[in-house]
Amino acid sequence: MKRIIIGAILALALSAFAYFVLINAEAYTLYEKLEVQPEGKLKLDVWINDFYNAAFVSLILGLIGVSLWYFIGYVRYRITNWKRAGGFLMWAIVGLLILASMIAFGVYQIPKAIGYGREIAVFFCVANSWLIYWLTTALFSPSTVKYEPFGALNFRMAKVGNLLVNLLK
Amino acid sequence: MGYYAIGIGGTGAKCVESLIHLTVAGLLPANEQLYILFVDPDRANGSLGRAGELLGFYENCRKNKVTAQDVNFLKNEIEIADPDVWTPLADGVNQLENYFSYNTISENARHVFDVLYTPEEKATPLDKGFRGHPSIGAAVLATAVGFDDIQPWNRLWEKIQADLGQGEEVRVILFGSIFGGTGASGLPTIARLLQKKFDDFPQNQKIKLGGVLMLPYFSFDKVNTREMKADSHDFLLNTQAALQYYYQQKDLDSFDYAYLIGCPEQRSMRASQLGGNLQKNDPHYAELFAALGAIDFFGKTNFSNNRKYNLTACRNSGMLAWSDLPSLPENEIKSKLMQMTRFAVAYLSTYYPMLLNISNSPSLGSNAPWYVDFFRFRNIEIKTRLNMELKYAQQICRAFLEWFANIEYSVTGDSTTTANLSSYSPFAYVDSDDNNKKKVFLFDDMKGGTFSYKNNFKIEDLEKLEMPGLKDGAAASLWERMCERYPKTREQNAWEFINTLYSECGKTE
Repeated sequence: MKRIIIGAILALALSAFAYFVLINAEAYTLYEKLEVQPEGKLKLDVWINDFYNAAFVSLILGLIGVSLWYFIGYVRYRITNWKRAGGFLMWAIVGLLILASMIAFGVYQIPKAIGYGREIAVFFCVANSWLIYWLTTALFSPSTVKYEPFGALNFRMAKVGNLLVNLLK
Repeated sequence: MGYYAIGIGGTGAKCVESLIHLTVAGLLPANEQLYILFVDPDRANGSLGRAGELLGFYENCRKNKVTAQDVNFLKNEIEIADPDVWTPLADGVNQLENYFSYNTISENARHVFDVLYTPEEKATPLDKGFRGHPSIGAAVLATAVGFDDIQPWNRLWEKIQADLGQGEEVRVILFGSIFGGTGASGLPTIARLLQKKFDDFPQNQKIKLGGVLMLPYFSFDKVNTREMKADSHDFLLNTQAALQYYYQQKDLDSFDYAYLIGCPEQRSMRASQLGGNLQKNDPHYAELFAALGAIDFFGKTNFSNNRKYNLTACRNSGMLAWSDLPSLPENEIKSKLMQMTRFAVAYLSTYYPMLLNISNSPSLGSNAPWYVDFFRFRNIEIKTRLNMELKYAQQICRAFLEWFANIEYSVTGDSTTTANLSSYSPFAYVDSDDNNKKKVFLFDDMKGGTFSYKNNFKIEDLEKLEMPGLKDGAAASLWERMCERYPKTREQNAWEFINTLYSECGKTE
C-alpha cells in the first residue's frame, strides 16, 4: 500500500510539474521555435489555447492510466495463480489505451496547422501522459507487479522505488 | 543440555521419526543438539528406512543453513550415530543358537538353553527382528551392548561425558513398544544397562533417563508364513505380561521419567509383513504423543524424588483436539505445527514450482517479484540452488506433509470425517494403494511407478488455495507479503528466501 501512496504522490507531482512547467515550455516551443501556423483563418492564440486544453487532458489521462494500473495490480493480482502470474500485457494494454485516447482527442481538439504542427502538438500531449504513466508505474507499482512495467526490472527502476519506500519506513 | 534419543525396534523408529518432525517445526526446547541412535536387528525395516531417510533430508538441510532470528525451522542440530542403526547381531550370526555358540557351550548350559527356548526360537533367523519374542531379544541385547569398545555406544558415552564435562545436563530417552519383539526386549534391557553405567559415574545426578513405552495402538493382518512371526492378536496379552514384568522387576525404576502411551482402538496397518523394507507402517497419532513425551522430558527443570503418576487422555473418544496434546502449551504446539504445515504447503504448491519454471524460462522471473529480490538482484544462480537447499527443503516439506496427513488420518481412519487437528485436504487425499488398502497420498505423488516431482496441488489460483489454519485468501496475501519483503544479508544461497517464507507463514492475519 505504501508503494501506491508514494506512487500517487509522484503522479500528482509530475502532473503539477507538467502543468506549470512542461506544457508552457511545449507551447513556447510550438509558437516561438517552430513558428507553427494554423491553417485557414484561425488565429495562433486560439490554436495554442486548444493545445493547452489537449495538454491538460493528457495529464488527466496519465493519472487515469496510473489509477487503472494500480487498481488492476492491487485487486486483480491479489488473485494470483503462479502459473498465470505476471502483468506486463495488462500494463502495456493500459499504456496503449492512453496512447490511442490521447491521439484521438488530440486530433479532435487541436486544429490543423501548416506542416506537422498538429502532429508535433499531439506528440507532446502523448509524451506528457506517458511520462506520468510510465515513470510512476516503473518506480512504484503495487508489489505483486512491481517489475512488470518496462524498465522496472531491466533498468532497475523499481529497485530505486524500493529504496525510497524502505527509507520512508 | 545434551539431548539423546534412542529408537528401539520399528515402533521406536516411528516415534523418533515423529520427534524429528517436531524438531523440524522447532518444538525441541532451546537450540540444543539432538543425538539419535536406532537399535534394530532388522536393518532393512521399512519404518527404520523412512526415519533414516528423513534424517538424511534433515542433515542435508542443516548443511550451510543460515539461521535467522525468530525462525524455528530446523533450528536444532541433529547428530546421527555412526552406525545410525545398531544391530546386536554380528555379520553371519543371525540365529540365537549361533549367537550363544550353542554347539560349543557346556552340556548343562545347553540344557538350560533348551528349557528357556524352543527349537524354533533357537533356529529362526533374526535379521528381520525378534519376531515378537522379547525373550530372544533380551538375551541378545544384554550381552551385545558395550560402552567401552562397541560403536555407537562408545561414541554415545563419550558425548555424554563431554556434555557433563562442560557442566551440561544430559537427557537420554528411549522409545519402544512393549508388546512387540525388539522394543519389548530392548527397552528394559538397554535402560538397565544405561542406568548401571550412569550410576557408576560421579556426576550421575546430571544424567536423566526417560522412557516412552508404547502400548498396543495398531494391529495388522496375519502374515501368511510358516516362519516364526509376530501376531497382533497377542499384543494385548504380551502387554499384560510386559507390564506385570515391569512391576515385579521394578524395571520402571531404571527411568527417571516414563511415559506409557496407548490407544483404545488398534486400527489395522496397511503393511502385514514379516519384516524387511515392506514392514513400513504409516505414521500414527500415538507416535505424536510419544514425541511430545520426549519434548516434555527434555524440557523438564524439576525431577522430584517423589513418585507421581500423571494421566492424560483425549477428551472425546475417536477425536483429537489441539487441547488434547500434552507437554507444551496448546498455543505453542498448534502455532509451530501449523506454521510448518503452511510453509510446506506454500512451498510445494507455489514457490518451488515457480522457481523450477523460472529456471527453465528466466524471462518469467519478473512475474515473481520475490524471486527478483531474493535471487536475481543478488546474482544467485537458481539452477545451482535447485540442486541444493531448495531441493532439500522440498524433500523435508514433502516428508512433513506426508507425516502430518497420516497423523490426522490415523485418528479415525476415515477420510470423510471433519478435521481433528487440521484438514489435510489442501495437500493430500486418501485412495487405495496397489494392495487395495487405504493410503494417504500427497497431491504431487505419482501412484505406482517411479516418483518424479509433478505438482498437482489444487490451485486454480492462489486465492482458492487453502492454507491450513487460515481463512480464504491467505495464500494470495502471503504472495503479496513475500513481494514486499527484501533480503537483509549478502548470503549467496537460498536460505534467506526460505527463512523469509517460513517466517511469513507464521503470520495468522
